Amino acid sequence: MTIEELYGIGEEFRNKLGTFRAEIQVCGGGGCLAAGADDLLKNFDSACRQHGLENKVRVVATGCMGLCGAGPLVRVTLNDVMYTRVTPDDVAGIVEDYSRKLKRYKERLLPGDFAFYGKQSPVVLEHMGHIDPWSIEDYIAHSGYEALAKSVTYHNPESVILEIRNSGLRGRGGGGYPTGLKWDIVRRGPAGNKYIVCNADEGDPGSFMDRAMLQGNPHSILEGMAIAGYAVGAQQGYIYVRGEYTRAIECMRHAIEEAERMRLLGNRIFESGFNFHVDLRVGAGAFVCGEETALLRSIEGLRGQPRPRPPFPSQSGLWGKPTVVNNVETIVNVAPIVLRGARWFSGVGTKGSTGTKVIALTGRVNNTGLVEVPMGTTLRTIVEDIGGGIVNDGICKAVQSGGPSGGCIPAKHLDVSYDFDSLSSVGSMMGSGGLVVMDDTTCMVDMACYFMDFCRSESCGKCIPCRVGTVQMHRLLDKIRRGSARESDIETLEELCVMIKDTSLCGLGQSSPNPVISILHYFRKEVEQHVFEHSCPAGVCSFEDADPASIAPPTSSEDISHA
Amino acid sequence: MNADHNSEQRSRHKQLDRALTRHQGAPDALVEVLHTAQQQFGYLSKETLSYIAAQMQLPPSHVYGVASYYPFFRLTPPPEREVTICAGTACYVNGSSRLEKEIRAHCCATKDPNDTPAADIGTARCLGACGNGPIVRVNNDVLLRANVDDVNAALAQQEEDAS
Ligand SMILES: Cc1cc2nc3c(=O)[nH]c(=O)nc-3n(C[C@H](O)[C@H](O)[C@H](O)COP(=O)(O)O)c2cc1C
Ligand code: SF4
Ligand code: FES
Ligand code: FES
Repeated sequence: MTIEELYGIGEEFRNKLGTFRAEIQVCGGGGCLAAGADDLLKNFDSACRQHGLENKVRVVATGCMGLCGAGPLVRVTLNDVMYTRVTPDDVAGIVEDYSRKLKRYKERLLPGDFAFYGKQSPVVLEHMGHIDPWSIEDYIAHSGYEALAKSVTYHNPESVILEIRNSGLRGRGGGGYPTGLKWDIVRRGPAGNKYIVCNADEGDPGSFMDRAMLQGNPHSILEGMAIAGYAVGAQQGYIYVRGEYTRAIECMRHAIEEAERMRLLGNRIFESGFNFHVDLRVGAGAFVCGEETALLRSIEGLRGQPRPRPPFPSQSGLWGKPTVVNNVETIVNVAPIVLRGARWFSGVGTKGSTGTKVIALTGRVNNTGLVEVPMGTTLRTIVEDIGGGIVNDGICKAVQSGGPSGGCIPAKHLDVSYDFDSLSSVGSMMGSGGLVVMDDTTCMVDMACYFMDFCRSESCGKCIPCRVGTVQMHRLLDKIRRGSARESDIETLEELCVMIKDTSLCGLGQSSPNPVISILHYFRKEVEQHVFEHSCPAGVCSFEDADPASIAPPTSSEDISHA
Repeated sequence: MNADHNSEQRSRHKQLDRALTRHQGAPDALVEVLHTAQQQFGYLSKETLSYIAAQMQLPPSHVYGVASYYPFFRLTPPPEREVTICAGTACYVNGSSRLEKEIRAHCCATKDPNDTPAADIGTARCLGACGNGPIVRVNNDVLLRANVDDVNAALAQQEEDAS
């Protein structure tokens, strides 16, 4: 394969697409599949055949189109119209409308100026939801593998790294570490085997951006990994995918085979001296395996438990060799940066957080789904404009960002901008991009208890502060929920937060108190109402253990020592 | 029937053996091999684990240790019918814990306490349709914005389809 041949394949496929008058794109993302997209696809196929349109209309399943909460979604490219919550009953009407050039079928039509899409600026998700993830040609026809071709053909590895450094790209998996810097360390490491590992373990429950990309645009991940390999001098890459992601795994396997067949992966890529192979490794469902050192052990076939850092994987990773570990979204950002340049990328977003961020917007908002906004967009824009406000005309109480490692941000801070530094300044973090919106039906004590329950059950047990501390914190929070807590329990909670944060071995333990700290800080009154009045403003907690004894003199030894 | 069953078992073993050969000598392949075995047999029995240990020349305790570390691996046979409630954050704020209580109280259980329940009820970390919570999976059917009636209806429908 040469760069000219690549352009040729793209051209040919675009010509083929040009023979169709329109495409009917059915969303094949996780949410829409669950809502019945598979059946729709068949229905559209046969409806088109009935109208004699099989050579005029291309019916295709794409990746996630973003508005997952209103699935199944269907797009007709002719007038670029979208339909939501499509049922098999709507198929005939939509096809008829198209074939007779009517504009009558308004049933499920999404208004053209729908704010959900209007306020977004997709870079990472640019082609997802528009192309067929099972077709490498479709990807190539949308500038796919062009960045890899250009890197290998026209640039030396140092200048690729320089471009990534200048772009200001920071890791999207949670840490926010500068990607170019990480690559540079691996490049400068001792000669010999080096590795690229794509972290697709996606442990934050309620986040699905990585999954969407794996099954919505798998080649964009392979291309980014190959560029990373070229830049740092690695010949082997691994994608570590969560075991539950069956469909994503199939799609990714297929993509690897196709890329090998076209010699976009393998030996002498673009007739250069650069060789790069990618293998898939399937994870087995432990949250902590998303932590990079645990993940590497898991790839080595061991129990995925973290180890102390340093040494960092970039110094000593897989089998002791310098290894780049990057999140899926970080990797997908690479090709656009190579194609459009560092200056373009750093012009998007804020000074400290360049580019865009993909957010999994969920919870009590009207529009839920995958969203991509420039860094620095305010939470208010995300919740009120893109999210369309709170369900049932309710009022936003808080947003939770960063999953079990993040914090709850109260509604009064909705004007904070969504970027690495601003989120930390209000006691939360970006994490991998989960954003859960809460309204007055959400009890903050219950949420704190929920997250602590998660950390408790996901703690790998290697170090004591995390293993024992998370259990104790959960017990105390549960006492508050059940109405048997005392004032001293809040103090103990606060002490435990500090202890676990300071002494745990890995990020899971260190960040596990974050949700609790933020709730004790911003929602103190609500916590105290639980403790002193046995009342839960959200009406969630049932105070089943509440009895006069809970305000009786202390009995346990630790309380006696307080007295 | 029995012959069928035996030949099916044999072909499953063959798949496992193939995975073992493919990864021959690569100690990092254990997790991969376990995945294959679980795919073939539905779970990892003691016999399967010892077999893998012997073939890969690894101590059985190591193989068991790795298999039991990862929640994805089942060490007991999967239940015949399964109701899984999503316990992810997005579903949680949409009421999944209340739904779980309701399901435990009103679904799947038969009146006779000596009778086995009609399905195993469990939770999962995230079922991947987070924008539509609460999500419940009834065997292979994924229910969006689910309630107790949906779950009962799905169970009844599947019963009907099976018979
Ligand atoms: C408990 C824990 C879980 C993590 N889970 C993930 C994950 O699911 N996906 C991910 O990309 N990074 C995860 N990380 C962060 C990784 O350790 C690592 O920082 C990241 O993959 C680096 O890639 P990036 O620089 O591109 O962000 C997790 C970290 C911790 C402490
Ligand atoms: S902090 Fe928790 S998860 Fe991390 S190593 Fe310690 S016990 Fe394991
Ligand atoms: S899954 Fe269809 S829009 Fe996200
Ligand atoms: S949180 Fe329930 S499906 Fe993801």
